[in-house]
Amino acid sequence: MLWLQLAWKEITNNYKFSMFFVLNLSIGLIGFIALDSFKQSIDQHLQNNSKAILTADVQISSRFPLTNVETDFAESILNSDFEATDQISFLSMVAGNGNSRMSQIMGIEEGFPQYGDIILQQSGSVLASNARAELLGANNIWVARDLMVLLDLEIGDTLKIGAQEFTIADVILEDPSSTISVMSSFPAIYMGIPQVDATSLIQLGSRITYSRFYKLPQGYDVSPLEDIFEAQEQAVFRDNRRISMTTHEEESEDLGRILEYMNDYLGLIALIALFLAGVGAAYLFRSFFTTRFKDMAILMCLGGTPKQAYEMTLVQIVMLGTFSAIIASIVAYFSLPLLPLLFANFLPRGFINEMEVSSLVLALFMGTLGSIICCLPILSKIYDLNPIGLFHENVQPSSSSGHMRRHVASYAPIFLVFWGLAIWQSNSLLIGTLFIGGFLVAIGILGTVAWYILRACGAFSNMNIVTQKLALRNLNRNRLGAISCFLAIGLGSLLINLIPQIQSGLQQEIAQPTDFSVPDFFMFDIQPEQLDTLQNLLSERGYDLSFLSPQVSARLEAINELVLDEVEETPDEQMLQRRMYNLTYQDALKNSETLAEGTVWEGAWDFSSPELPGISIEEGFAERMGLKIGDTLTFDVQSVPVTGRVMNTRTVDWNSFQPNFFVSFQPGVLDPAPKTFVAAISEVKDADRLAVQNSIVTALPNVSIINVAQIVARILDITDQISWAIKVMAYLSIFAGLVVLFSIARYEVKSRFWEINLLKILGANFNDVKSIVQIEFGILGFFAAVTGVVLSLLMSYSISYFIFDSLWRFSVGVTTFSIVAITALSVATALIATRSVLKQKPLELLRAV
Amino acid sequence: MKARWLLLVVTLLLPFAGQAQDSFTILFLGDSLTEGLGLETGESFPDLIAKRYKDEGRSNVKVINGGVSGSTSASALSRLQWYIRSKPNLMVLALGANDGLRGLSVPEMKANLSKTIEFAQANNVKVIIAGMQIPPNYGPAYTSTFAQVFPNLAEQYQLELLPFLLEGVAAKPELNQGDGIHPNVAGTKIVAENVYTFLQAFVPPAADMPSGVTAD
Repeated sequence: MLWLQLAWKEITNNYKFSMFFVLNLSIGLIGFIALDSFKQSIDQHLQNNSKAILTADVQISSRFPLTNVETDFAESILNSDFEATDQISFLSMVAGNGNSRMSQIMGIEEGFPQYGDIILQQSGSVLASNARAELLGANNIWVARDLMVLLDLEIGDTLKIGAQEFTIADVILEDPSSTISVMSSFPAIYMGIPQVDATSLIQLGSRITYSRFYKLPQGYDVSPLEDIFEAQEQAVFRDNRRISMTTHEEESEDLGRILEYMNDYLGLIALIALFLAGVGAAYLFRSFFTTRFKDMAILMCLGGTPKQAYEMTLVQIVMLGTFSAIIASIVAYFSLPLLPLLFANFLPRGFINEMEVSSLVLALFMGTLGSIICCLPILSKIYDLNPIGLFHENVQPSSSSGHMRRHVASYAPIFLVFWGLAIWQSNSLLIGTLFIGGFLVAIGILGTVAWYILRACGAFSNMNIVTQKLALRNLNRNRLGAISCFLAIGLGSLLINLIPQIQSGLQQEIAQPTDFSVPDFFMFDIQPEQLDTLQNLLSERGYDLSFLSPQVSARLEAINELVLDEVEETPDEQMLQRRMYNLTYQDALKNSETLAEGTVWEGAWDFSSPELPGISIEEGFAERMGLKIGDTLTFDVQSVPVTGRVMNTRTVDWNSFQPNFFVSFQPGVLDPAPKTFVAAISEVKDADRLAVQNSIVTALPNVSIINVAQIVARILDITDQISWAIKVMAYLSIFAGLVVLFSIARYEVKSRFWEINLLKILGANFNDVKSIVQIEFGILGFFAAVTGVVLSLLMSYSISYFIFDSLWRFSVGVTTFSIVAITALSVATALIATRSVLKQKPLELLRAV
Repeated sequence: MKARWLLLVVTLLLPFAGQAQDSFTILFLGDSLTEGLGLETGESFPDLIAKRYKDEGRSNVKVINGGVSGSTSASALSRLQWYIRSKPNLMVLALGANDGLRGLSVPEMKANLSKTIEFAQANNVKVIIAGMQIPPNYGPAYTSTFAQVFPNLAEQYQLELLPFLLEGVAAKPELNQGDGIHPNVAGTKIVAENVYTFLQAFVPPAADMPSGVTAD
């Protein structure tokens, strides 16, 4: 208790300094809480968007009614509380007013949709109205708008489906669950599950999909489910495997990949935020402790033990730290929810920025326990503190004593705690370890670089201009202090530059390509003789095909003359069992494709050529099949063998939404084989969509035409948001980093007030002091920034290599900005702080002694 | 370019052309059911039938599996034009299921199949047409109109009709894959057995065996 009172007295006696300390630490912690909370809010927002497409977290489905064994199995894998809702869906031909159209019948229950919302013409939002109860309570249906137009129907009309007459209660305007799969591209009709039975369409032999949707608690990680499911279903169901499990992340494979990137990226952000706050807090705590050495020495002179001296100071620090954390939490609690109000136009629709409890806990932890952990290395130094130091103007523990081992060991808790936090924040042992490892290496490199630069400052200090001479000698003389400042700024700039560097690579991958437009319609099964009709039909309406590829069905017979039928197949090679491929042939790469390796062929293959015709392989496919440039592939093209040689591998821009062929031949080989065409139409005006679709269906009834505009728009909307979030998080981390650097530089200058005052007493004028500070901080800031930025390039590259599939791009702008901004900030902050120090009267100096 | 391709095809088919007189070629023109979707290589029903001929020593009987997953009746004619170069003697026309599943126009499907049959007959290929049915959930009007097309065509063109390709297999979970529509290994064996039996009357016995002896 005595310690508490003493410590409180110390704090209030030095209340100006205490306020300054609390202010700096609070700013750092607010930055941390904001970054960490924002990260979690964004994560939540994107997850909800992705869930709206599936309408659930997880779906299981089967072609047969789900059995208890099957649902119990699925629910044991979920291993969590859940809400479930069942659905029955099938296709049926629906006739009205002399016209008929294939439709997707959906039987639903209360509880659907679990995520997202269906918008109806009359009732509006299904979630907000009681439209669902009205639907389930009678022989009512909701009908997709397309079908209403096609069959010339109106709300209130009756429609016979199977054996039952239904009343059209409402029209579906927006349905998030219209997925990208072919089957569900038919217009939907919703009804209650009991009404489905009344249609008598479910009979022996009917082709029905029975699904159960699960809603899981917030924060549940669905990503491991698919693997667990696959690993266990074989053992449980043997040859009777009928159910499949889909998580919202897998609903769109590419979207899932992007969401995973986003998840890892946000994990990194959390780490950066943690380390920034850590570097800032550690720096402030240690500096605070260092300024207290003299008080401790006095205490020890008066008979206190080193332990007591340490406790006395530690109690003060913990009190200040806790106080700062509480202030930071209160400020963040009230200001964070206001953020979306301020940037209403800038934030995605429905985005809620919430204060995360875990961020608060971490901030409190940093303020309290963090202070103890960060100050442990100094505890070990106290034992080396000699009261004789009181007679020096600047009390420092003697560094000559041989207690290195104890000293090094005292750093272990910092290391272990940050390692643990890193793993926790990034949710991954690998990323956390990688990060802390890289961080330690960076500290080593920064320390070494700083040592040599400061030594060089001594060597260059033999010049005539007094201010420069003094500045350089200051740096050289006060090497230990300068190194810790250098380390703080260097680590800061490393952390600041890391995220934008990774961001530019990710952005490149996610951003919508600008040189072509995404499709509104896909068409399959176009016969060669129908191409002219199709093109005429479109040009009449002012449109053109934006994509056209022939498609030839063939069976893979041999790889490098090794006949696959003769190869003993291991389970790993099951991939090879399905050997039917859709081949295509094309003159050059399409604009959605990029050459990965090899060369592109020129012109058509010459039959008299001794060379085999060229083959282009999609990169991922080449990897899965273990194919290299120069390998030969033999296909059975509908009973004619055709052999080609792999000339190149190519990647396909996933977000071009263009059809992707694994194997593409040089023209001149497959041309006469039986083929169909795949095509796409882009940029169809909303008003024209139905007319375009109908004219094609009427003229070419066999052609399957799928309206993908809605789903593509939805996926693009989510990726736009991800892209936006990645950018904003990068800016935020730069800003948070600069705030931390600002508080470090300010503190560094303040702690030199004694020295600056001395210069003043010795007759230095304002400008002299100013230029000394300018040079010192200029050198420190610039070199630390350059070293930090170089390290961040190396580190971001390795992070991209390990986590983001090597999506890394050097960003000149960010790099230059970081260096300039950090140097300028160091100098500017130092100068502002100097000004306030200079305002103090030299008398303070005398008082301080 | 086309001429060169033809040359390639002709070269490749020369060995077959030489045997053309005493060999008998059966073309199965179909969809995923013919291709054997979801089955391993050699497990499709045309492959099983071919294996049976081989085991019986009927090496003169050739089988071409012309199944393409997802194909509709619209592609039938152009594919037959491709296969006609291997001089099939008999064509088992097993297309239409995808037209039905995708809800395509029934008259259109009938027209596509008619053109194909006419082309085959003009080229002296005997045609067997396999009847198709679609699941009852498509609605009674559509399913019955659809199923009627095949007997109608058989009557119109004097074809042999295999009443239903998936007879005894369709709608039996134990004979179908998890998708409930493609026969599994056991189901495919039944299909092969049915088709084999049906074909017996139209396929010549082994060339190197006395004509009275059949292996079955």
